[in-house]
Amino acid sequence: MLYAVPQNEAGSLESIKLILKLIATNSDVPDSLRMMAYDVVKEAFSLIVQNGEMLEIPQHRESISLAMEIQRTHGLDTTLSNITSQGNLLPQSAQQVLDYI
Amino acid sequence: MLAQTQLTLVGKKIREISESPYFSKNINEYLSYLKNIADKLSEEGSNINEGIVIASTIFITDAVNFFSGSTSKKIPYEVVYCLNDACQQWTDENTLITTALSSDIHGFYFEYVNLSTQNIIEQTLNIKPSHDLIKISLPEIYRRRPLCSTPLYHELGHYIDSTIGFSEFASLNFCKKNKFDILPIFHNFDKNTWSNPDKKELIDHKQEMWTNHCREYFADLFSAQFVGRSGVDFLQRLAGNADASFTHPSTKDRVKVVEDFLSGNSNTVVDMLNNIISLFSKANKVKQSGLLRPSSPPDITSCFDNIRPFPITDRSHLHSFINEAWDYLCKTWDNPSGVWSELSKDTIESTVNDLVEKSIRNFMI
Repeated sequence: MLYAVPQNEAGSLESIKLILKLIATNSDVPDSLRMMAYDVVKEAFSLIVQNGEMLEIPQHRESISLAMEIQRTHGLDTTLSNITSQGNLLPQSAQQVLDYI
Repeated sequence: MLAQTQLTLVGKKIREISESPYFSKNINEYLSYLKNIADKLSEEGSNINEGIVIASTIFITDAVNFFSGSTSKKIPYEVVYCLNDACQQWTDENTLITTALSSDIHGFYFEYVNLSTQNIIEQTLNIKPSHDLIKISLPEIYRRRPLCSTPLYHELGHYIDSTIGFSEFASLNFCKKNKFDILPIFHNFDKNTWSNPDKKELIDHKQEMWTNHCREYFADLFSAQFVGRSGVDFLQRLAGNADASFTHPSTKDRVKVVEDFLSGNSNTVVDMLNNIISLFSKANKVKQSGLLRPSSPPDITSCFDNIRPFPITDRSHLHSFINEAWDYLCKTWDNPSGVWSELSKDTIESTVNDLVEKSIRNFMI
């Protein structure tokens, strides 16, 4: 909107939310989606700690939004830090992340 | 069951829209894409995860709803042509711009289909989109007024920013280092208020506000690099000198940033955004490596003085011509001379807009 209504960027995290929902409900999730979710988490953490002089652009647009979400949601970083590999993306951990975002 | 019913209904709607006589080849391709998704979900629904079926059905329904304004003869083809050209200068993606007409006089906004769901559909159903769909809304009363449609460049800027993430990236890398005062509004804020650690909630909102303002500055600058000052000039006339809000910077600050950009003056907002655009360009995420000032404008005076369309021969003039025409309209409105002095203000306004429309249409042909 030109001057009155806030922009809504929530859509950027929709795919991650959907993948996490599928994992949380023990659904059969394609490996490519699992890999994407894990990459986004990894990239989001890199974005938060990266040095101002050596900025890197993430592969996934969603990583930028997730990094923003980590910054503004207390406790989300701790929950996400438990996801250290694709294999760690289990129903319980997926649900824990969903409780935040 | 509900998803299946919705799928059947939306499938019918796709067929109805496909039979409309006003569609372009691109829209038909996109409808085929939607139909392929609907067919696959119907045929293999029981083997596909329910969450994906629901998300895909919502995706198709949203996309189909986008076309409601595009089925009529009311599309402002000339403006859409210019927007497509501007979009292609920034992204390699095959975009499809559709328009909706709003009854609200301030109804300039954009929407786009959820690219995340589109990505999931591609990975799980193996169906590739023909285009990325963008819907831009403008007030119906401006449908035949290209000079009143310049805010659509600003809206397109929001689309580019949303899909690439410039403003959010800026927020992560500049705002978090407490460089809040890069943006003009924070020069005037009481620093003690913001530095109080007990006010975490306020600080969180501060960053959100910062990001919102950044989005508006980017969209203004995106517009300015094509249609110069006419974008913010229109804003001033439409919104007046609005103060800063949670979502938007003050009009005064927005005009200042655009004017600094256009005149080549150093400006921290412009420098920061150029820095970020350059990084995304190096990562092949965007075609343009920075914000470019508009090309030298063509001289339209002799044509418009004689109420003739201007022959646009160079694509680079397509957008800067709009700024010149806007200036011409403002000057002629205030001080009509020559043949214009015989005409009423209303006729001056509609005739100049008509000349702009014809000039662009001649270039399109």
